[in-house]
Amino acid sequence: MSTYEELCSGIEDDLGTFIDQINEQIQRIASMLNDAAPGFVAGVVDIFSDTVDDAIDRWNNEIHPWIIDTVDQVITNVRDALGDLAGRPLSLIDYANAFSDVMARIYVPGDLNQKMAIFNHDWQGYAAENYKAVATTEDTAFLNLAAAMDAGSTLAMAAANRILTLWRNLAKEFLGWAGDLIGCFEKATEADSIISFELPAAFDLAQAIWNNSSTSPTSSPPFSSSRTPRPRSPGSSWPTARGACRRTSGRWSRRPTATSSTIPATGRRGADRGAPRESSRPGGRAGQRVGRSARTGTSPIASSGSAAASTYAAG
Amino acid sequence: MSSMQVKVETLRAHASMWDSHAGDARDAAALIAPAVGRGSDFGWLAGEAGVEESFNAWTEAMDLALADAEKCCRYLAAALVSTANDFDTTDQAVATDMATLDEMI
Repeated sequence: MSTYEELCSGIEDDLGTFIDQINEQIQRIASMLNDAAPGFVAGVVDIFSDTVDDAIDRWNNEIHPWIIDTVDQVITNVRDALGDLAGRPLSLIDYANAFSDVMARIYVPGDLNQKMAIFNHDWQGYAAENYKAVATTEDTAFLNLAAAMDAGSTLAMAAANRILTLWRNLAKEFLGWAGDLIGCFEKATEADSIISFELPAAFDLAQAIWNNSSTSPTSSPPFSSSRTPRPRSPGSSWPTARGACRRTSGRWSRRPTATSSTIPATGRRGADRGAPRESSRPGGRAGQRVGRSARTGTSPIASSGSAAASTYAAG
Repeated sequence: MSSMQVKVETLRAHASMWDSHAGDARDAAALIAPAVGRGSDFGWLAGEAGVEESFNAWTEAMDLALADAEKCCRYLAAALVSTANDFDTTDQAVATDMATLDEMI
């Protein structure tokens, strides 16, 4: 990774892949639960109906809302972090090298002393003494200037390397979080696994980067182990569950194109910088809640977005 | 009262040395010019922490210092050349005076 644009492009590609995989897993789990729901096969008494119902409840009321909130935060935070890190470390490295070159150019240790020693034999008197004083002062000034350049070179190089390290960490950590979350979903292959479903603390890792690179106002929402649905904030822009189910796409969307010249400015801070802001909350998002209709005897709904999904038991 | 002794060519050699230093200072200023005022290259977050402002202040101070250094070195070189010329002129004038005096004696 050698340029900021390369980093942005790579992260956006990874983000797009992550979003696709998350949506696939959500779709798969929703379908799995709907298929397992009692009543799906008419006349078959499912002795596991309570388990499936519990799994559907948990999916609808706990896991699914948590995923929506958390993935949204991941997407927002990743793009915020990219914007925050929008430095030009390679330019800084050039500057550091220039400062270092200047140091070598403007001061050669001992050079003036050597010349003055010869000079002492060739010019003596009041004027010569005054000249020597002025020359020594000037030489000292060059020495100090060279030292300042050296310090500036060191600091600029350190800052550039720090920014590059943050870039690398960001890319690395993001891939780690995405992998952990996707891997977690892949284990959820049946209703029982939904009951015991535990989302990893992968997103706690995000703090390591956010703390270094951002003043992220919020942390990832904790995944509640209780069965009580988490209250939604009144100002939440998330669609209601019923609304989500009406969406035909029902997915987080990829950013259309990660252009090489556009710094992905997100969040209020991006707007403050005057950079274009792309919403990190696309209109279409996952809405794969699961229909629960065993008790009513209606067919369960694989709530993949059809209008019929409105029959599901909303959490 | 001090005795005075001078080899004016040495003064001119030193003048050349300071001229060379002035050239180095000018070249150095050109080298760092792309960095002057470019604190924004540290990124927005670093800017929030004051890095941008500090870097800009520092690079501008360095730029000014190099410009001053060039001026000082040029001035010193010119002073040495002027002094050497004065010595030459004085030496020539005194030599002429002495020659005139010699003819008068």
